[in-house]
Amino acid sequence: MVFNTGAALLDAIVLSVVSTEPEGTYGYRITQEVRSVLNVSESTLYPVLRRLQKDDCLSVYDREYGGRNRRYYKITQQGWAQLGMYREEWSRYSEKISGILLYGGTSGQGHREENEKEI
Amino acid sequence: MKERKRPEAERRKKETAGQDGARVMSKEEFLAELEACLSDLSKEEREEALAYYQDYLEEAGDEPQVIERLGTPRQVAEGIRMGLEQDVDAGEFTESGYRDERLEEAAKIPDRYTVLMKKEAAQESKKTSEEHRAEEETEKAKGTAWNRARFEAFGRQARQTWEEAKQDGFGKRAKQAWDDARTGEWGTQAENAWEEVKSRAARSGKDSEKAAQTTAVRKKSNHGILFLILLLFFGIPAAGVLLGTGFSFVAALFGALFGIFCGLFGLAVTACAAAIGAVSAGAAMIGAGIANLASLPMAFVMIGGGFLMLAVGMLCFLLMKWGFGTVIPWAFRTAWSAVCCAAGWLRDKVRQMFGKGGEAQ
Repeated sequence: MVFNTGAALLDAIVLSVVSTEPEGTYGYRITQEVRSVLNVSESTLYPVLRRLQKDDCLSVYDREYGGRNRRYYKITQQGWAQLGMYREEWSRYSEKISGILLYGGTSGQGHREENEKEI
Repeated sequence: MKERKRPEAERRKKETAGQDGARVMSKEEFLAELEACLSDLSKEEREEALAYYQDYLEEAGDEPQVIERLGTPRQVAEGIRMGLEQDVDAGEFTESGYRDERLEEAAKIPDRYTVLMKKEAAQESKKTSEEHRAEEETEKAKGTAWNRARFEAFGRQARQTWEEAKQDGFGKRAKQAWDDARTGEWGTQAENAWEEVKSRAARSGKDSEKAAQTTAVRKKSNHGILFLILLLFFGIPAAGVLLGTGFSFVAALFGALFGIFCGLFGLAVTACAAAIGAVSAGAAMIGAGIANLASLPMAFVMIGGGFLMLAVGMLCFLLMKWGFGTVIPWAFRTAWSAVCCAAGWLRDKVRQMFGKGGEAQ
């Protein structure tokens, strides 16, 4: 991978992953899922989860599994709102980048439509 | 991590081999070191992080390179610290430059670290030197005040204790101990000793009295000896005469006594003889009387007379007994005691004159 994944993007990704599980999911699983797509260090994820928890985007609860404790992360209402915002932002941002990177055009809407047609 | 630089396949190879061939940490070691690296964080943050990684490693279980992939505990700790510091503006995808992911891991730490350092430096420089000094002064003052307070409190306590001890406890207790000692065994012993001393003194006093007496008597005896010498010198002729007179007097006395005794004795003997005579005469008369019963009047007279003679004889016998038994001994005793008295009187007189005194009179 060439492009760096910034902190905000990571937050968004993690939030999205957790949101797929209505009952929440645990750290190891989240890490595996994210790493299946992005090549981030396993130790990168904990700070993200911690930050999201502190920002009240995620709530935590403990559940026993196989004689040991598992900490589950679950998306909150605020988390949903944040995720929604992230998704909107990403669409706009990624579109811009794609436009200039993929199709070489900086022009406005017209140009985009043309490119879309091509694809 | 360096592995990101290489293509996928190489990276995988690297993962199985271990990053730099160094010894791999155990789970416990990793967590312990991580805890140490997080010591500067709050307790809550530290415990959260450790719990997360404990669960993570347990979840990973037998996976061989998990710990390696995590990186060193120091790196992990740094990441956590950064995560806490970071102020993410959610709405913006601000670019902090096009950071190459390949370089990210290697460069991340210095980068963020320098950022942190710069931030700290900025904060520090915000404080003026005055504020610094003020802070220092406050700290020092607090320290001094504390020391003084401690010292005063301690000093006050110590002084109080001393005063109390002096007035109350110490004095009272000491007196108490003294009284106990005096009245107790020690006191009794002492008193006994004192008594002994006194009595010895008294005795020695008496001795000294006796000594004084003896001296006085000796003095007297000295006089006595002198007197005797004079007496002898002048009185030998006189003494001769006196002695003669005395002797004859004593002889006469004895003679008289003897005469009396003899008289008494003679009377007693007479009584005895009379008794015998009378008894035998009586017996004879009775016999004759009985023999002469033919001539009645004579017979009765003889018998009667005979009994009469017997009676007289018995009476004489009694007299004799009395005489011998009682009178003579009495006479003897009286005479003897008289003689003794006289002798004793003479003896004492002589002794007094010649100073064998000091004895009870």
